[in-house]
Amino acid sequence: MRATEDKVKAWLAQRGIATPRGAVASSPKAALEIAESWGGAVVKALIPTGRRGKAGAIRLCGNSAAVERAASDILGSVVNGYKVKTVYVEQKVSIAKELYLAFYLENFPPQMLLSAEGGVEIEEVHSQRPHMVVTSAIDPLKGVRFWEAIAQWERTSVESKFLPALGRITTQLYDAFVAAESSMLEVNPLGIDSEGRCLVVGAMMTTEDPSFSPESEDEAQGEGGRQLTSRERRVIEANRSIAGGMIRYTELDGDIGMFIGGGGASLVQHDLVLAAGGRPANHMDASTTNPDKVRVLIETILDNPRVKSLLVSWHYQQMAQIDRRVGPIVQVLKERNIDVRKFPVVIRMFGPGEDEARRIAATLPGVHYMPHGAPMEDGVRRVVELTRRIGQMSSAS
Amino acid sequence: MSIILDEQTRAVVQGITGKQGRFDTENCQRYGAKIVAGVTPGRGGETVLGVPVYNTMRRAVECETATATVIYVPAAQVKDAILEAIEAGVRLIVATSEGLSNQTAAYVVAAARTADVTLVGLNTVGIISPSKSKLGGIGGTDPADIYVPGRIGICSRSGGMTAELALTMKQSGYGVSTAVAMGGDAICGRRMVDYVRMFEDDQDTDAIVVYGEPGTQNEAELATHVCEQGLKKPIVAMIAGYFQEKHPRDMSFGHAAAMIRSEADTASAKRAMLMRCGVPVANSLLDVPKLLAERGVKPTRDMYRP
Repeated sequence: MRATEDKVKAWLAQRGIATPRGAVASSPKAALEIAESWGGAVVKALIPTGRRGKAGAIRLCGNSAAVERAASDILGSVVNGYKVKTVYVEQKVSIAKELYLAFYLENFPPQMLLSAEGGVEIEEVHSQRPHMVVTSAIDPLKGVRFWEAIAQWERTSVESKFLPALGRITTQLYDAFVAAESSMLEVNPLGIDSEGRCLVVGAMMTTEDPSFSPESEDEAQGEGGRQLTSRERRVIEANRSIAGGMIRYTELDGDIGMFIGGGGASLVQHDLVLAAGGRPANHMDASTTNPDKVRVLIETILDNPRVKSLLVSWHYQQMAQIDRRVGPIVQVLKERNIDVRKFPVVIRMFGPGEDEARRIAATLPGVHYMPHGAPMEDGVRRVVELTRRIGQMSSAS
Repeated sequence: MSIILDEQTRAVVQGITGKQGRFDTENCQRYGAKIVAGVTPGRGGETVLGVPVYNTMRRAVECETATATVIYVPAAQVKDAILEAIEAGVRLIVATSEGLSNQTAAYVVAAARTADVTLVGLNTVGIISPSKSKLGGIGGTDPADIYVPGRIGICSRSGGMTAELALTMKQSGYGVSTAVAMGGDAICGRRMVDYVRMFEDDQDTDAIVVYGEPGTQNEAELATHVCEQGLKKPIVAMIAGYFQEKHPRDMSFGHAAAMIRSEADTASAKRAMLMRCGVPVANSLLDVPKLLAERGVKPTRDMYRP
């Protein structure tokens, strides 16, 4: 999850790292009040994405009237797919030099990226002048030490007199990066003021720490700003309120309801459905055996008006009891009086509890429970074929 | 032989007194794994499932001459458990825990690699050398229904797909020398290419099957290895997650490791990279035995029939 700038800066400030003064405003009037005593200010759309400057969502304002205007322009607009509900109003600081610093941990080992060219898009710097971006691997056992940070900054050709301050803030930022359970912390620009002091002017950070989450349901938007459907929201809510693992549920525009799980098996089966000419109504990665959660998930899939059939298929289960999944699924199908001859249901579930799962499924005649050991491909082909036939039948009638 | 694990491997279970630890340990024992000790601080001196429990890894390793460990402790204790196992001198750590942060994973992976300890995981269902031994939940209560002995080495980034690949091998007359679920997270103790090299050097492995997904450098590192040094044995890869490319970037489909970060991380890019280096890539599970046969790898069904 990308944290918004206000939260990242508050977190860094708490740890003794210098940041400009700033506050959040949800109306032009509030923005004006924040900036009134400052003179100049920067108004930024408070959304969890980068490239805001390019999108016109960061405005430098010379006086408080300009602040009010900027806030009124930016609030309510859509930037990089996100609807802007609040702006971050920050005091303008005088910066003598703009640098770039980032820590990444997507693969092992973590990387540190430094550049003496900050305040611009680092991708452009890297593509035009690759030598201007200095990359180094970090040993997580040691962290980033003061002298190591200085040695790396030295490679960027930044003036020597700035090195002690840069070394200090770099070690502080790395410690914050680790403490926030972050996979990406980007400071751009990292400013040096006229007195030689370093401060974080622009900051972007991902984190697993829930205290960085949006406060209200309303603030939560789908990845890339996509509006979540009510059903997707229901699964997010179930993840919060019901134990039994994080479930991913993403709606798509097809018609086959996918109750699938096992990280890898979900990917494989989704690929197979497409290859067989079918169209999934959703993607899912479910690991739960909690019957309450299974119930929410099956109800969610069935609530989607596009769904015309159902595939229930995990990889061969090595530990989880599969009757704990098949039970609630069959029960909900019965409660809703779903006619499985018109709404095909294909189950491919093998493993502990399989006999009981088959007995439960058999109480709903017409369910296609694949024979023990049948390949994944067979379950997928069956549901795609049955869905196609249903489509032909309904278009014929 | 087999890689990493065989019938001689003496293993400790950290967290043997917990529910999952106990359940998996019983299954491992039934399968023939040499579980020689358990470790739960505060429970030293007890006997669980017929094995002595110690308070510390150091004592367990010393007293029972163990070289391996499986970890079933709550998430908050995993880091300590792994570091304790490394300091106690084991050579193999199977870390089943999921949901560890990248930062914690990076720390323990660095510690394991520095000590040259094979850390399987994090977030692994385990490792199995069929008919010899297994560590972790892999194979569950009836491993023989999925994993039969044979001469194919499997390395998979997904625990579930380890089972599906082994089942496909079984149904097509092949069997497995060792199957390792290397871990579902982005940061794992050993890289895919490390396991492939172990299989290359294993006398009892004829061919290698790997399973990959979007995200991480594992497949790229493997492709580079094959391109630069060639491979001593036939290999077949299966890559999943092509569907993600049909949807807008940044749309999330789960499996932390499967987040598409850049073009080079997509399933298609990985497929192209591997094929360029001469590694055949299967379109589906059923393609895997076909591609093995095309490369002259013989089924071993009759060799291992009891």
